[in-house]
Amino acid sequence: MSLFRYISILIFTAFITGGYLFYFEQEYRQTSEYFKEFKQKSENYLFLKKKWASKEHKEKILKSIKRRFKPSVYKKEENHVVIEFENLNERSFKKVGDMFLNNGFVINNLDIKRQGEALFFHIEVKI
Amino acid sequence: MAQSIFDGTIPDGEYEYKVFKISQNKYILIAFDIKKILKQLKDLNIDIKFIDRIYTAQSEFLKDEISFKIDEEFGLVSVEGVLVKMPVKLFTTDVDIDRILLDKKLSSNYIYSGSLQKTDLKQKDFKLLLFLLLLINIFLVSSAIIVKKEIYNVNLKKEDFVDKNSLPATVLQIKSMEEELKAIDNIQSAIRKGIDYLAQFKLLKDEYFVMLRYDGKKLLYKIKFKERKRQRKFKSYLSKYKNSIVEIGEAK
Repeated sequence: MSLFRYISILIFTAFITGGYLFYFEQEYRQTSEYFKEFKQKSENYLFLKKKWASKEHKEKILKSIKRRFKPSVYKKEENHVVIEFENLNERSFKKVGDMFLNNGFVINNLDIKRQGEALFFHIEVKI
Repeated sequence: MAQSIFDGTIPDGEYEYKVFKISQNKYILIAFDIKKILKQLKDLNIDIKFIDRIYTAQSEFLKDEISFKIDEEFGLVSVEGVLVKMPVKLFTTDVDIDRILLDKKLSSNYIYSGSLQKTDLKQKDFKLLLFLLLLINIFLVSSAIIVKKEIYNVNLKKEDFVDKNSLPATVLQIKSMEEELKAIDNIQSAIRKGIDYLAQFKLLKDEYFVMLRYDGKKLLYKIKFKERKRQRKFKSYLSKYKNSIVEIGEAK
């Protein structure tokens, strides 16, 4: 085979390989950027998920509330729990309130009313 | 071996040798000093670059029974296929070389080719070009393989990340779920801030909390204040958190 033919083949191969390299580099850039965006969004999502949607932890807290504060109403549905306390003193109210507020419960409904010296506390939280 | 054949028969010099096949089992061996030939041509003011090929008279007039003058004093005579340089005085015929060359068809037995020299130069360049192209190709192929492997690694990392965190596969799905959680976060944070403030707000004597209600849309406060000024203070502070969910009602 003549040198010309070898050169032609190599030039052709270089063009094809160069084209592929360019295409792969574009693909790599896009894949990396996509992964970066994916990771960032996922981390935000995971943070919020941990904050608001960790079911196991919430169920433990609810059990603890039920055991320690003995609510007058405790109604557990598929996606939410309704809890009511009658005549809750300020100290207990503060404790139970903190447990709901600091453990990522999504409050659907809330009603706190004065009952003489004590409080009526109704809460519906998502689980 | 060629050198030994000519040993003692030709003057000293830097000779090159060529063998041409002239017929079945017959060959002709030629010794020539190409540098000397080219120098002589140059001395005759002949530009070397215009010379395409150089032949020997011996190889070209091998089969011809011929005699011709090469200058005023000497000529060449074919004696049993061998050309012999002889004084023209011994010639019986008077034929000039120019006339002989007019009808002469040249063989392929040349000892020098100008175009070959040029081609040789080109060939060197081409070989260099070929080598460079080969290097470029190797570089491109290896780079393409490396980049492709990097893409594979990034995809692998993503798959691991997705599996490890039980995530959906696309950014679009993540965005949609994140938006949903962000909306929850905004509302729930506002509720918590509002409640926190209420817990920190010091009520005076004869002031008391009446009600706090969140119905899924609005956070409604009702507090019995001693003076309007106090109510305004509470309201102005809450206005910091005042978004669509916070509202202050009148306590009776």
